[in-house]
Amino acid sequence: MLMKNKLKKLCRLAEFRICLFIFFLLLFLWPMIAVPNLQNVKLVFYWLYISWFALIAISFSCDILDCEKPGEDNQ
Amino acid sequence: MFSFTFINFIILIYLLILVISALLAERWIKKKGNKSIVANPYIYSLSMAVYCTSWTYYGSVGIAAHNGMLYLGIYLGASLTILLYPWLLKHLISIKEKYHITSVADFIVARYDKSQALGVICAAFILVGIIPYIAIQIKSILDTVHILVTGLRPEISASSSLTDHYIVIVCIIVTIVFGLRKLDSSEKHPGLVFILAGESFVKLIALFTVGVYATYVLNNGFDSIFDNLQYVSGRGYNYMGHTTIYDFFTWCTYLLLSASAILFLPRQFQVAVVENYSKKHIKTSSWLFPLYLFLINIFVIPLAFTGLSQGFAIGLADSYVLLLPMKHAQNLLTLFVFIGGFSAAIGMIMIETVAVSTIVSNQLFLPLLHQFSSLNFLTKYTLRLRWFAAIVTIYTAYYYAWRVGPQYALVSMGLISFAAVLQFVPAILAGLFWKKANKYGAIAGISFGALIWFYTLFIPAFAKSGYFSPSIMIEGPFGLAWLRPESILGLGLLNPLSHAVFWTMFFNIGSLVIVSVLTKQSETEEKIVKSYEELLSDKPLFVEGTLNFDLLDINIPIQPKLRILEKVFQKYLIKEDAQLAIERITQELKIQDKELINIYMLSQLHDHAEKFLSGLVGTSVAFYSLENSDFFSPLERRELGDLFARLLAHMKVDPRELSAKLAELQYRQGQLEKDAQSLEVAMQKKSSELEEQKALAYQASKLASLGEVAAGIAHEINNPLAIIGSSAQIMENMMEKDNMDKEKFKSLTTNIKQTVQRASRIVQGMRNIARQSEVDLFEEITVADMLEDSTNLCTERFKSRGVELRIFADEKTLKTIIEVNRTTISQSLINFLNNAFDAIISKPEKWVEINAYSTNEFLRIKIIDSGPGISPELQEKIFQPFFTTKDVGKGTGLGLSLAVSFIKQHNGSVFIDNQNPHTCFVITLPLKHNS
Repeated sequence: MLMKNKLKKLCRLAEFRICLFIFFLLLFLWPMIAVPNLQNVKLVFYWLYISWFALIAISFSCDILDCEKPGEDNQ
Repeated sequence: MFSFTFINFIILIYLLILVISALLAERWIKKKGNKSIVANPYIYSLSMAVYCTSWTYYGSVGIAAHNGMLYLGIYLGASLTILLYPWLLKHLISIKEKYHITSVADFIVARYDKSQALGVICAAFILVGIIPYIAIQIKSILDTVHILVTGLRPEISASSSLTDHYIVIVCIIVTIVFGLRKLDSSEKHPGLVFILAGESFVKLIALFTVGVYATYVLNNGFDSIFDNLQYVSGRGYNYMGHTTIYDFFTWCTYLLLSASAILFLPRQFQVAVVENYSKKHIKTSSWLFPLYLFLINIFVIPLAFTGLSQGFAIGLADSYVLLLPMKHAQNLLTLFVFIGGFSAAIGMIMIETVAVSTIVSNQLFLPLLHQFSSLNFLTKYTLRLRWFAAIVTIYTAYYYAWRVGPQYALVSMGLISFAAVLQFVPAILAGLFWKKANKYGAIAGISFGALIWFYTLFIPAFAKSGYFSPSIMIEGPFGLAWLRPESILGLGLLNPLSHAVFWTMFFNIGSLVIVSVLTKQSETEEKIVKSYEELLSDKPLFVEGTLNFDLLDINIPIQPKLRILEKVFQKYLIKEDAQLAIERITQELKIQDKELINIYMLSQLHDHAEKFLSGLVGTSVAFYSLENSDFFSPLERRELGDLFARLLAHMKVDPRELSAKLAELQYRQGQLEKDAQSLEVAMQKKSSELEEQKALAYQASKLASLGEVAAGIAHEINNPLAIIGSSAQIMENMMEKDNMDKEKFKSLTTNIKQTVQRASRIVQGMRNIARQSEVDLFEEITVADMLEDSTNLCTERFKSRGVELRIFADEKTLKTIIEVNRTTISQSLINFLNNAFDAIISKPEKWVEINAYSTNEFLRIKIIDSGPGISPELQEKIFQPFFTTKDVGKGTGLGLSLAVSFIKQHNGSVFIDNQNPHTCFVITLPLKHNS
């Protein structure tokens, strides 16, 4: 429970979001910097899509942590 | 191939379904008063997917066929920004709610001093900048209709203009029906948002279906496609572009452009900020929307590969999505793909045109009309002005698609618009996070950015279409090669788009920063900045509806204000009194040690001073004395007014409403005061009744105590009567026998007299106790008399039950004069003695001891019995009223509590001596009573 609360607070931090932004930006730039001649298309494809999916998964986890039901609207 | 009539029929059926859905959604909301059908996070996230236009639907495959995975930059950059949604979008929505923002231009104008000039610049630039993007959608609809009808990829030509105009008119009608049917101050369009979400779903399913068809029916899955990629490229094409610095910058440019476009494209701002119903929806959209982008793009590479491997020309890449099912005679799938593409295009046209026409009418038309009094009457026709703006926008876009479109792929046209939107980003971000940014800086930044954008992207587009001499591209204007639009200062390292982005940002940010630093904000702008700061801070000025006073600036020196007050007070008081009054006020407000205070404390100081003066000289004089004293400076008055205005705004009441509420509250307060008075009277009545009942209870208790000693009294009276009786009998016998021994006779009569006196004292003691204590007065008696009053009523009873009563007191103590209420003190002692009697009556050893000792100031009486003492638990309760350890009906539980109460009336005290091995109550009484 304590861990959950800590993670919840972390998800709400603007600094955490900015760190994630930079982290994923580097992941997305990496193929353009590090893959020689970009011959390995398959590697680049999976690299970018898996990174992208990880970004979605983290956002989803933050939503789950921040409320009991994802997408719940109490309005 | 399909006939045009059939395609037309399909389009009309689809539009009809959309109209009915939108109307049903709006009617549902109106009828049920429940917006949940639209105001939910899933509809919100799906409506954001209007980002994926026909550019995504058809253009991504086009760019993938040309440049490999470069297309992904347009979605990865967007997903990066979405990662910041819970932080950034929340702030934008807070500002929208506070300032009733209706568009991205409105957002910029609201921050920068509500500058009309800035509004005009933004509106004009948005109109020009977004035209290419709307043109893409029109181009895609026209192209796909022609492909379905002719089976070829036609270029837009004059010969097909009738069909084109028909489709453009349909776009205009649909836009007006869905988005511009009526004016709404909130600028929310629930029906439109509902169908945008529906369309997003349709286009996702359509593209996903054709993607699965291409990947798993026409190919053997992803692995097979990747293995065969090198064979379709033919010319060593590596499918990821070339690994040069040129491509790296292109990739970065795509990321940057899409990161800004996802939030600041007019339509994205409209759906994400203006159409937002709850900030809670942001969290869901932060994963659902990227997931949508992920799914809609997953089959782009397979579709591009399949198009190339099926032998389609690379020039037709924008149409692969439609051509693939067509080639394999999958008519149903072809129609579904067309509907998906049509959905993507028409959805974007509707929402973008609504956003642009709102901006153009609010920021461009209306301010211009206000400038010309002869045209002022047109301001009444705001809705029609928007219709006009929508017609102009869509027709201009069509013209652009017709004249410029053939020279550009879909993606290139869209990126021109993305670069236009990027020009707003520095002003928006600086407005949010840089306090010094001002309207002059924003005007300079956006203007320079727009001019460079026009020069580096728009002019080349027209030059390539033949509207300008191509020499401007090669030689530069007036032969100045360093001013070539796509290579300013010879910067040829970058592609035209990256080049344009670099120079626009360089001039935009540079001029924004320099001009903002060199110029000053107006007073209004400073207030707006402060308000933004409050909205963006984690510590809002209002917390749970209460003003957070700690956030107010503490910048007002208190001493000058106190001097003003002192001067005012000295008109009516001598100097010392005035100073004393001020000191008291500052102490009350707890600001006596402060040098600086905030505006709220200053108003409190003023109020307290006015109240104090009102008590001295009346409210009217007090008010005018302070009013004429310049207590508040003009700036402080404004600040105070602003604080109250913010308070009212926060409470969402206007001053008239507040005044009405105050009047109502005053009325209620009056009613409450009346009720309180009635309640007070009732309370007093009840209280006096209770007092009477209490007195009666005391009296009853006294009588109960009396009852307890009644048996003893009977013995006391009986004994003297027996003595008198036997003495009388002896005297009678002596008279009958004529034996009149004088000495004996005298002895008998003396004995009778003494016995009568004793009986009389007993009766007097009873009368003393039965009297009401209120009428008794304190009197001076000896300790001996005091003890005798009590013991007289107990001695016989104790003796008859075998209880030994011992009294220990020295002569001095017995003769000591003590001032007591004879009745109550006697009753107290009797109660203690009775309590001891009851406690030991069943014990084998039975004695009660009274031990009295006096000093010059007080008398101490110990009442000890043969019992073993009282347990600590009982000691806590023993003096409480109605507490008893006796059997039910045998004790009232009032004896000891009354006794203690009487002792306290004498300013005395009672405690239990726990050091004594037996039960020992220690009573201390002062010799002199001080009332």
